[in-house]
Amino acid sequence: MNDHPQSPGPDLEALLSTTLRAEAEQVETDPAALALIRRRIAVAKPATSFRRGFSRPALAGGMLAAVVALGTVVGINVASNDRAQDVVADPPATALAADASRNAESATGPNDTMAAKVAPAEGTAPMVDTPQEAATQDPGAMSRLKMAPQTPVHKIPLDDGRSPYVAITAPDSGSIVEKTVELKGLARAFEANVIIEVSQNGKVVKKDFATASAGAPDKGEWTKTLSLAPGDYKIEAYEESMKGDGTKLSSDTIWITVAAAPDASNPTSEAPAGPLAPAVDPAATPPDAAR
Amino acid sequence: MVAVFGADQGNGEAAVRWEADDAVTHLYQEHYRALVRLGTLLLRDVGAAEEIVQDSFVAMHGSWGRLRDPEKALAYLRQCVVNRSRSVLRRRVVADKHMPTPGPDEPSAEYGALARLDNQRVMACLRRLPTRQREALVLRYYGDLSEAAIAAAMKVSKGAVKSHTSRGMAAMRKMLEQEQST
Repeated sequence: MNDHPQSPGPDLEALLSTTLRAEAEQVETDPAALALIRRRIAVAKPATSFRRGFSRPALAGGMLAAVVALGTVVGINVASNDRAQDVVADPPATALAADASRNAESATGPNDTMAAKVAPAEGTAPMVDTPQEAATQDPGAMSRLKMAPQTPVHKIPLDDGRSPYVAITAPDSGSIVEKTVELKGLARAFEANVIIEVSQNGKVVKKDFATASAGAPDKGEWTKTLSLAPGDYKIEAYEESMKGDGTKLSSDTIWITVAAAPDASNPTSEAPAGPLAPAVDPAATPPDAAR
Repeated sequence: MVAVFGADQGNGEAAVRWEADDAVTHLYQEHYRALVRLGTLLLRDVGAAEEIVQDSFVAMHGSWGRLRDPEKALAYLRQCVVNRSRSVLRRRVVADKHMPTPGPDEPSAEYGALARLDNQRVMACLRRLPTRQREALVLRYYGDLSEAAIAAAMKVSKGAVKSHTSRGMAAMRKMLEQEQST
């Protein structure tokens, strides 16, 4: 075969080698690739950190506490439900349960302590609807954390000082707030852009953005004022990947309940409008009793 | 208490991560381009090759705790690139059946017409080879790797590398001859 006069013969190896090299020479790489890799490593980090041995027991403990808290909260909710006819049963349970899992890691006390903390807080939901309470209650107190008011157990995501980072610092998850919610948070985001997504019953009802006081690599503060109809909401703040594929680089989520305005959700109540009734955004008024 | 825990974890993580980050930087500077080129030769698609190599770097960073050695890490990266290229090719098979793939990037005008013709012929033959044979040839004649390194990158035995290489070469020779005789 090799004795064919025109065959590439034994120098096919050389030919192949030069061809491959020449072909490879033409390939130019993206100069921004290192930055891209770094970014993707930063995104992948939270997943890998769980594999570290020492965090595993903590995680398991947190899950256990969350399960216990969930059971407690649901029990209390059922018990208190007959007292609070005008409060829809499910939403507070979801808001509280979700909050319980968020804060569960810091809840070190035994079960009954937990229950004691939850019980009075749960009671505030129906109490606000009575005019006397609304009048005497400090409006600021409404936005306080429902669980464990004396110690701030609200956990915001850990910050390693380098990776994309978004956190909501106020209001606390699980709190009952007025219709005009002022969100506060921290962010280390590209071009300081933070996206805020408000959802209810799994549907996004509002999408907005905030601009932090500084962009990556600096951490900045951001605020955003939202006007929401009464009901339970999940609010998620995140940084979206510049790839445009909707990847969330870093996010934080809170669950809040927007207090029902006495005259809006409960027509029979004669509570004074007072500080509880700022202008309602008619566009964002989904029916509260959807389920 | 929350803050203290956060700071602790941050420091502990940072010590481990710095090493892995350094490894990424060094390996990137030295080998990124070559790896992309390797991927491109296997896939004839620069974009896909870059993506694969970036994926491989991310994966390498993740398992740095296990590798801890630039040599091993490079072998790991090579293996990732070969492996992921295979997956891409596998996925591509279906698409290829329905629609002709675009040709390779046009070579630059700096190459002589004759050399270009030669190169194109050789590359065309290479592309018609089965995946394993192509991998073996590219790793050997572009990557200049030893048989052992090729075997590691392809996750096959040394004997298999030998047979893939010789069969690949024989097939290429045959194809080129056929072309010349027509």
